[in-house]
Amino acid sequence: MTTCQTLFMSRQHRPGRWTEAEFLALGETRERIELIDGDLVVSPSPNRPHQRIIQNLIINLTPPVRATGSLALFTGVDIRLASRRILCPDLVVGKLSCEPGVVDAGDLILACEVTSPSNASYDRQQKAGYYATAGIEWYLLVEPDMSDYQGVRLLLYRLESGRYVEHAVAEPGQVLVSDAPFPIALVTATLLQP
Amino acid sequence: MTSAPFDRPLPWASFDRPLPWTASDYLAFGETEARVELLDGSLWFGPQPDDAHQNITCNLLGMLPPAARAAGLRAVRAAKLELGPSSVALPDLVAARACQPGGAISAADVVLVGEITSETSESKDRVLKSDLYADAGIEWYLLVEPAQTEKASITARLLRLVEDHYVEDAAAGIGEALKTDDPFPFEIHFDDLLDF
Repeated sequence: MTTCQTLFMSRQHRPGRWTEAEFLALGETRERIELIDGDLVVSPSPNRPHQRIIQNLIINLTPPVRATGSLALFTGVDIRLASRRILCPDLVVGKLSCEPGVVDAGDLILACEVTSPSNASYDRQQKAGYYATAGIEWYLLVEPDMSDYQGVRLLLYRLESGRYVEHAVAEPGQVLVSDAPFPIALVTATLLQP
Repeated sequence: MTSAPFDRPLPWASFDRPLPWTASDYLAFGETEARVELLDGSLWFGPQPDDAHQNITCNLLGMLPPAARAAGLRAVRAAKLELGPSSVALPDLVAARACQPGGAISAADVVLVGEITSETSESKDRVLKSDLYADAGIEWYLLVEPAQTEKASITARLLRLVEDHYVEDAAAGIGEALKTDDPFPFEIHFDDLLDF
């Protein structure tokens, strides 16, 4: 046996992957906690500009979502994307009831993330990949200008053959317009309003 | 924080600082019981690598350090690798120009970073960590990918940074050897990697 192997074997604490039962037993937490393939991922709670954008998204998206008669918009909901993979997107839209508990990804038609200064790569690449793999048809990525929070860029992606492709984009100052997955007209400038 | 009804310490209970954590906050914690990485401002609490993963790491460490040393570099296992203000990774292997015992290695000193994927790590190794290593300007990324279902299969890809992302420079699988001259001359024989 090599020294290297002896060192590994002497390690006392060798926890395994986190299970869904353990994750769910954590209950309500201040931080955003997600279960990703058996890793527990703890993320900062959103800063104030980020929270304001989420609030303004709720204000702007709730009327068209309600008008569909079948969809609902939620924030802070745990979504089960696969075995041992439970994420909490900033916003979700789907055929959702108010019952507590984890929601299956199959019930969603849209997931939305607002990028943070610390989490931009995680939201743009990693999470988009997880949502696409789970078959969530639409992904709305909201990218505030991190330097001064004076502008917001919106990217609406549509799932096509298992990957997200750009469906509509609005640069800072523009309006994001789309008929699907429900009629959307998001004025970027209003998302940072107090 | 609520207590959980299972026999496992809540791993971030010892991280008694409010989020967000920076690389310097993370490094100030020193040794921790849990295996934890700070990736893009989030803490990733993962399991310790399983036996197969550790055996492959051991065998890889039999091959690379002598080759690195011959080129004036050092190859080490599971060092803290500081990637930026909000990321510190624990890669399976790094080859660097300088290593401080016990200290974090700066991305600027690293010529190659290596990960051996596992069932829990493969999506983060291929996407998030690949992005973070590229953003930190690490020129070479060695991704060793054992098949998750059977022991007898393994592949490795040596990726080189071109502008802001990695492109494949060399790849090999079981029964073959991965040979390269850059970033330093080394050979990985796959039959030997799985010899445990």
